[in-house]
Amino acid sequence: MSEPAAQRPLTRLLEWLIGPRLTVYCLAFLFVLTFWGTVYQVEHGLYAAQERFYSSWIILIGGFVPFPGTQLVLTVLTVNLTAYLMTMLGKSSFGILLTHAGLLLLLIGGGITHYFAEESQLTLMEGEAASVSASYHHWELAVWKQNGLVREVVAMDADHAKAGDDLRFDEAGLSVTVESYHRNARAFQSVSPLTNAPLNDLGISSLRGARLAKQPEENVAGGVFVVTPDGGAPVRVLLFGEDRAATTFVHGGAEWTLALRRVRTPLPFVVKLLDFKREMHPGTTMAKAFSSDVEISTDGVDRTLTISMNKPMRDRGYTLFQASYSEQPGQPQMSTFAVTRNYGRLIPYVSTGVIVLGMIWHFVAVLVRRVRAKR
Amino acid sequence: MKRCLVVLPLLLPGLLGCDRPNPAVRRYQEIAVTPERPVMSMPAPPPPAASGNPDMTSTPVQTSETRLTWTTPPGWTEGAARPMRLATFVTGSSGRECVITVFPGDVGGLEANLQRWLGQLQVTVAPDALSKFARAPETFQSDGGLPCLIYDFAGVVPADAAESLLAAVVPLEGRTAFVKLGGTREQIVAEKENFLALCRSLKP
Repeated sequence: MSEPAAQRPLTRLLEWLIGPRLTVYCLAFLFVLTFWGTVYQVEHGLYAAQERFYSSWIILIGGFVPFPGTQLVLTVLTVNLTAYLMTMLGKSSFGILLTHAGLLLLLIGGGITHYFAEESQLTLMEGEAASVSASYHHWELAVWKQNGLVREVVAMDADHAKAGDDLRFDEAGLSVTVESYHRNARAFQSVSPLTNAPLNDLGISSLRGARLAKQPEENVAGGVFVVTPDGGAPVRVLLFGEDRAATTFVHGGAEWTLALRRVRTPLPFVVKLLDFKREMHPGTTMAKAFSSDVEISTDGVDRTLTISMNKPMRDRGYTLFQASYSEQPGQPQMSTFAVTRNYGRLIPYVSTGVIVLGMIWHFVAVLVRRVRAKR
Repeated sequence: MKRCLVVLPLLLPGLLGCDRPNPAVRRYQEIAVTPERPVMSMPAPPPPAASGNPDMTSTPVQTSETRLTWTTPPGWTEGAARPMRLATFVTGSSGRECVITVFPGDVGGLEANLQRWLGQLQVTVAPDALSKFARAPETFQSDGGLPCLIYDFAGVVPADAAESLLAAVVPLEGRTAFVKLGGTREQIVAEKENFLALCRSLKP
């Protein structure tokens, strides 16, 4: 008996969804996106290319012509592959199914990494310890109270702050109104200090907005904030992302610190940089290898280990890679670690193994079948 | 049944499309231990205001750990401490401000600083003239043995410029202190002796 006419379009759509034609379209789009994104990156930088081509659902060419972004293409490919697997269960060979399952797992792993992985960095000078890492390009307005070695921090995201925004820090009893905010700012000191200059730890008297840098980690946020303590007079405070000393004040019997800084991610351990070592290529100033001796403190237990370029530290879901270092005459050496937390870290390895296993299975099955046929 | 299974993946984009929640307020604990290192610092800040609701403009703001002391010239008034602005003085005759600031390192070098200040005065000087100006400061040692390089910008700023500058560069261990007095030529001439007296009184 034939299907009712109303069901035919749906059937056709489902058939199209599981068909190889859609797979080929997706692969062609991915080829174009990869090529286009690579060319775009040369002029606009890596971050802009990632945002426009690889993190987007739709790309608007010239501002109005839609073109599928990588996220959309990969999602359609995932749907295509999943639908194929579901309809081919019991019909196709086990090896083919296993290979496709591996590909699907790879796509899911990519999705998990894209949506749930956390990336930040931790820079320490020798002897310094910290329990938080810093975002590469997101900013927060943070207020904290020092309690011994521990800071009790209350922070709000500042990336989308704009003049007129009202922020409330209940713990500190502070109301903050954004007077001006620049995602990338240049700071200026006045030759003749102004009597009405906002409070600032470096004596900065004014900020000017600058064009956003191609690499967002080069942006330095800055803003003027009107801070009103409960029952107190409002004060204009200028906060600049490169302030070396935070602005501190006393209110409600406690000392509070206010800072505009890169978003911090709390880590489940404290990292202390004991010693940084680097080895140069002979006769050059190029680093051949560098490593950091660190002390990791977790729940009162300390352990010492070395993090080097190909030997990251892994603990409680976090991975610390040796990323870079900094040296200045007369100052302790500084080491920078890339900090990642990626729940899908192992999925690419597993999925690749599944794909290889599926292909071997299929190859052997075909081989056996042909040998038997010849006999 | 099989068709239902095929439709299930259609829900996947919706699930994947949900961005992670981005909480407006985040509360967390942070441990930060910074080792002691040789740095310059300001005098101990005055005690916090005694009232229950202190005015933050007069609240001491911390900067660094070691000390630099000075004697306030007669007729000048020392204002409230500000972070990294080690001291702010209001001159007696003109009411202009003189400030002492400290920055890590040499802040780009002597000529870079002179160039920056000239830029702030909206004055352009040829590189040769700038080098000559940088090499010819009035120099002396303060009472505390600190080298002071005095730059009177009256020598390079055009006579009709609205503002001029008197600056002292004081190299310290790992940092540099700057003493700056801005004003008209007349105001600076009137306060130059007091400015030099302030620089001479600097002690580590």
